[in-house]
Amino acid sequence: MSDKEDCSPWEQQRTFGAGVKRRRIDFVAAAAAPTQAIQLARRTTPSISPGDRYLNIVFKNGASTEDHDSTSTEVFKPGRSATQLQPDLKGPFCEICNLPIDAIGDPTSTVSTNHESTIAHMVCLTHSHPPSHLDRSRQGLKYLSSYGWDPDSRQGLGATGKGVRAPIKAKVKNDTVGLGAKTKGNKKPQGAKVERMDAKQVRKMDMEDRRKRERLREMFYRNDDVEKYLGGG
Amino acid sequence: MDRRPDLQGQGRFKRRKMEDTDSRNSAESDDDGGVKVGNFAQPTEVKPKKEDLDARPSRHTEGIDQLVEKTSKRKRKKEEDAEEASDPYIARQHEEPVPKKKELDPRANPYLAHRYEEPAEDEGSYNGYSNGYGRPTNRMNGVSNASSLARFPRHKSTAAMAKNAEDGPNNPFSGQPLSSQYFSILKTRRNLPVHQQRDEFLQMYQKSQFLVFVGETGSGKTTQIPQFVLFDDQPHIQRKLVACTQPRRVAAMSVAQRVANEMDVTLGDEVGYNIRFEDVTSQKTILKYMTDGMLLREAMNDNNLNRYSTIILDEAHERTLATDTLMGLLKEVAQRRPDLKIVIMSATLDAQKFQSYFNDAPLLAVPGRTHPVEIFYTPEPERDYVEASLRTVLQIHASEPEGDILLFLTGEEEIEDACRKIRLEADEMIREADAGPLTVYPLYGTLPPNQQQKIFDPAPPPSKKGGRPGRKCIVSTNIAETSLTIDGIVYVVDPGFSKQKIYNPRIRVESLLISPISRASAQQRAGRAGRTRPGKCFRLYTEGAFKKELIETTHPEVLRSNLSSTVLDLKKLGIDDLVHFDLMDPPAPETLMRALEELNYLACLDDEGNLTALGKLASEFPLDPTLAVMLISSPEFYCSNEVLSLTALLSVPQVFVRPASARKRADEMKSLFAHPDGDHLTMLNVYHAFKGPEAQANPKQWCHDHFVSLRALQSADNVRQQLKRIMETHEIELVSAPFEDKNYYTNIRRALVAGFFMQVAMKEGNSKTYVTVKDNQNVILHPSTVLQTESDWLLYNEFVLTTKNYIRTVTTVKPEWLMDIAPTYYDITEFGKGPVKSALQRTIDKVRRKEATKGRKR
Repeated sequence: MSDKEDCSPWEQQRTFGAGVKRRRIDFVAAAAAPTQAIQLARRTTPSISPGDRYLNIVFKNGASTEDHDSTSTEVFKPGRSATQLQPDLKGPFCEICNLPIDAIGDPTSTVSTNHESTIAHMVCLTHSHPPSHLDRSRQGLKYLSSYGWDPDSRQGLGATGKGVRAPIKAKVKNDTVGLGAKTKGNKKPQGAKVERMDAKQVRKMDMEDRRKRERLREMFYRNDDVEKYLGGG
Repeated sequence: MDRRPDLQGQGRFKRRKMEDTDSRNSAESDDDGGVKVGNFAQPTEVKPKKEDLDARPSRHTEGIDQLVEKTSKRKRKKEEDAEEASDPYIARQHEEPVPKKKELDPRANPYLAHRYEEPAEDEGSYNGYSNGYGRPTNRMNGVSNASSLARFPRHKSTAAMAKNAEDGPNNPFSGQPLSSQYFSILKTRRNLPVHQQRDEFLQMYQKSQFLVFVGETGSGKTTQIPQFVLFDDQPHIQRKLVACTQPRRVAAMSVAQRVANEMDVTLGDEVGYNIRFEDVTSQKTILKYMTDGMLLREAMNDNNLNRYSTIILDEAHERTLATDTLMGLLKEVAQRRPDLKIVIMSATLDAQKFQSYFNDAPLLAVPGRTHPVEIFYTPEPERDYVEASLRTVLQIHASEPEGDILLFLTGEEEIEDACRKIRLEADEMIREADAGPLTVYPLYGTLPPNQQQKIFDPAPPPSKKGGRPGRKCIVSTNIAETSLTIDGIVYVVDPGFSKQKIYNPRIRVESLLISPISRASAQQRAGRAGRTRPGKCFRLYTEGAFKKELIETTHPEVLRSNLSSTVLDLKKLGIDDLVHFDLMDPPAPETLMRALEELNYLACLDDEGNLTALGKLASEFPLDPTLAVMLISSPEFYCSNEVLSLTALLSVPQVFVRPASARKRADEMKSLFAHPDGDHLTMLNVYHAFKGPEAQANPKQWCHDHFVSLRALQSADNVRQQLKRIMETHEIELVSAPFEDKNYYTNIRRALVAGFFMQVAMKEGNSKTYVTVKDNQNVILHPSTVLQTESDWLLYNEFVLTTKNYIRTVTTVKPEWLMDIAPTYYDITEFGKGPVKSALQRTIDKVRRKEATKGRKR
């Protein structure tokens, strides 16, 4: 690369096609640590692996689980610019829980990792809900969404979206049981339940019973003197 | 299918029979139309200026009017199609020579009136009302000028001014001298609680567009408030009307009659009512009681409700589907029409909700005339609420002082059963314990009106002189909770249940289920005991259950119903954004989606959700969209006469009567009419027999003998007439195939499929159970069916949800028809794997094979 030509004013530069292709572009081998620019570029490219999509759904508001090896994995973090993730650029307070990040952090590892795994941080994360069960191909849904209703927004209809979200459930009653009274079906059976056992279980229970009896007898009738005499004691 | 003209030719006999009844109908409708004749015969159509009016003597104009009316009546009788012939000139020229000079003025010609209409009225006439209501007559103006109303400042009047006007001597609205009956009613009216707050009401009414008015039953709000509004709003000067809506037809009718008496006018003149199949109003009407559904229907053609200057929504706390829709609509209309005033009247504590819904409207509460009610709970929950309620009634009868009893139960059967048991027990008590006489009356919606009236009979006297006083006991559904007021009730027994409609959009089933009431409802029930004097309310549940198990307020109907009819109405009203339509309680998205989809399958809405021509037509019918679509498409199957009868039969209560005492005989009689293909056709047979000469000779006896309900058949007849009128105005052909045609019944069954294709069940293997198409619910046939042979495919009218899922009123159909008539719904690719899909596939294959062999033969 000739510096002289680079610095010349553009009027004097040769137009493209007038021997420009003959000028070589020089490359250098990559350094051990990637430069910041490259890292940024890699971070902002959206990846579409299922795992990433999951994280995308779970951390809608830009909260992220900072992985231990942040340089080697590519994680798409929506809503948060990559520069904020850089430890040196980060402020002392967490955006989500408004707590000082250093306070709990372990100085030896990446600061954000430990902070984001703390309970104080996690309770502040906004909870995301599973998408609505409604069949997206339904004609009626198409109509409602064309007027701005989002099935996943967890809102009802009406001017303020305050309508009920699910239809009222019907509960069949075909007896004359009074209000508040427990029906017979709801009551737990009072008497002991008869259990059926096979021969093996019966034998086992019998053995256990015998052992128990023996132990009891021993406790009642044991005599320290006799035991001493027998040489146990 | 080119046999159509042929069929019609053969069907002449059949059709003539139908037309016979029809000609009678049309004669009746002419009668109604006669009102219009009267309209045209008004002296002048032009709205005169105020000075003109002052100058003209009012007595004189009145004279003209009476004369003209007489003439028009005579003319109506003379000429059948009087509408064209009723030239007001002829009428007036020889009857009334005085205003001749005026008549030459083209402005006086009613046919040219539209040229001179003022802009205010232009809006009204645009909606097609210019020659009917809302049209002021200058008689009215003339009279009011002469009367005490003349110097009433609009929206600035006070109670004192109104009192002055009310005191007469002439009726402020009609100008007639007031009767003595009027003054006696006036006296009682002035004792009503609302009257004390007339000034307060007027001030609030004048100040804001919306007003929420809370008054308990008995405060007199339904009858008095509209009259207060009349004096202040003066709709006759504005060429407008005051409307007062009621959720029930009966209420609209009876209240209108009462108010007409109070105002000393004939019903139908200044005060009228308008319910689904009855319009008792005239061009003079300034106060109209109507059902909320009727007003909604009017709004479809008159989106701004320009005919009205004030709209009063009564019984808003009942939250019927129509009231809720109307409230949402009025909120929008009010923005477009700042001059429209809206009063919401409610009877319960829910007032704040109304207030905040209507942009923090001012609230006026009037205390009812209620006495304290002592409330008792049971210490333990009751095992059997019916038995407990019977025992409670008898206990009250034995030990409590004089006063009538009101018991709330859930359904007709339960009520009749309870009545019988109470009567038996009470007789025993009288014999053994010398108790006073006890009369028991049932009360439920489907009870004939004359029997409903009985509940107002006074309690029986003591059986012997000096004996213990008698009392009456009314066993009622929750109609006695808000709508009907019975004086003299001192004891209320409340088991805490009522029957409620609930709709499940996932399986598309609307069912009536016994459910616990709400706390508001329980409060309302208790309140019924304190109408005349301090009362007692016995609740058959624990206080804990009252607090924990009962919900706060009853869910409004809009959350519990199938909304397809409402969605169709809203689309017709021009409301497309159903998502943000401001209902007080917006429905669940799934319910709305289901409604939209159903309408789409019925082809009332296209795939983009726009109203189709069929949808527009269907919304003209006061019917469920399914029935409306069936009716509209019936001419394609050459059986619109029959389908019309069937539609009417399906929209009235149960035709067959099966009294507990004569079940066997009733079933035998039903089998006389039975048609092997199903219940729909059986019902049709009943109707045809009912219209036959034998039955018409003595319908009452005939119905009694055949165990069918005369009332249901008569109202079906009435509904049929009304629907027929609608069909005629929209030029839907009324055709029939000849009865001898072998496809006569097949045609009807095919026509049924055109509407009810979404309510079809298929037999499951060899068992007795069926499975509903698409929703995959296991169902069995209701025992009431006449169907003997087992059929693979059934169309049903009703899905009854109890321990077992029943389908009621069924008719056999063929799968070929389903795919032929409703190809989009029965699109085989849309079905999931299962018996239904394979059955449909088999049918397709069969049809294909048949066609192939046909082709080969050729």
